Amino acid sequence: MERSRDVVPLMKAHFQLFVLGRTARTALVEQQLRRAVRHLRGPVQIDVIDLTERPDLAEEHDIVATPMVMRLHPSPQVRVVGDLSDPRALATAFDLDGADDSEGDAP
Amino acid sequence: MTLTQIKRMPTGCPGLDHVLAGGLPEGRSTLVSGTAGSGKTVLALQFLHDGLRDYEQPGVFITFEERPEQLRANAASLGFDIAKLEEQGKWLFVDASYSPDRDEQQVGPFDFGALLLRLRHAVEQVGATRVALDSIGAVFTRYQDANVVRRELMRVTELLRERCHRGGDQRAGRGVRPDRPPRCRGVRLRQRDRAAQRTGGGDPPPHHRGAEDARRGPPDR
Repeated sequence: MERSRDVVPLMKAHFQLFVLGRTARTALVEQQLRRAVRHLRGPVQIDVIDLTERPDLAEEHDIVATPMVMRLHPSPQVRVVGDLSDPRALATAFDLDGADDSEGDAP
Repeated sequence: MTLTQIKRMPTGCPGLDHVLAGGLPEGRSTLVSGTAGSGKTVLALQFLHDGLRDYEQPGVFITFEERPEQLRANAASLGFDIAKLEEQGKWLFVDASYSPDRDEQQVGPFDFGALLLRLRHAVEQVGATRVALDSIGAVFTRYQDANVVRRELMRVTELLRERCHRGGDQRAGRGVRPDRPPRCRGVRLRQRDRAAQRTGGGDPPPHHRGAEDARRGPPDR
């Protein structure tokens, strides 16, 4: 897991995805997120955090619902909960240019 | 089952314990419902506080509404030193309160897995036998899908019930849940009739409680 905080200000985008356990379902959520951000110019950092391994982070960030994605950069911080299965809603929530619904040919 | 066969947990409020034949049913979830300002949060705070003071029963308070610091301050005005109990490792807050900087947009289905994880940890950490969830109404206001909230709150009750049936002194799951959960058994406190008791009467009709709560606006403290 990359957590080099010094790099963050230079990042184009930094997301943290909080999941509960590593399952096929959580892998799919990660895939949805990666697909949604692939048109962003510049580097994108995505940390996938399994809360069963880091329950302290659930407490620290007051997380109730999972899966949850937090956009740390660019600010403002934005939180999205859900399985990210709607690419258009996801793009709107994170204001992702170019990541429109044409990319969302998920089954 | 008759009243006398159900073990009771005193709430710490003598008049209430009297009409409840000793207190809230042990090992069960109890719903406390009432209008804004009727004292649901205060009852929950007292239930946990007096459980510790009189019976050395640790508690966990999950708050969906007020921040823990507000609750500590409110409790202090009633003479409850919650900060001290926290220091002693007998009381834990699980902060699930809403704040604008933690606003969440919803994209697709989700569950309360993280909340359950935090609740389980908190209950284990202090060895809680009393749990309060304040309030159900606030959860319905925060998450639009009433069905999801209803299902996830069932998981919370289920988790507490499991822990409760594990036996020994570590039993948990006796709780006060201010406001209206979707399905429940137990006591409903109303302002007018003060206390109405339902025992073993099954679940209330499954109509859309959540929507009602949302329309009613923010419940009281």
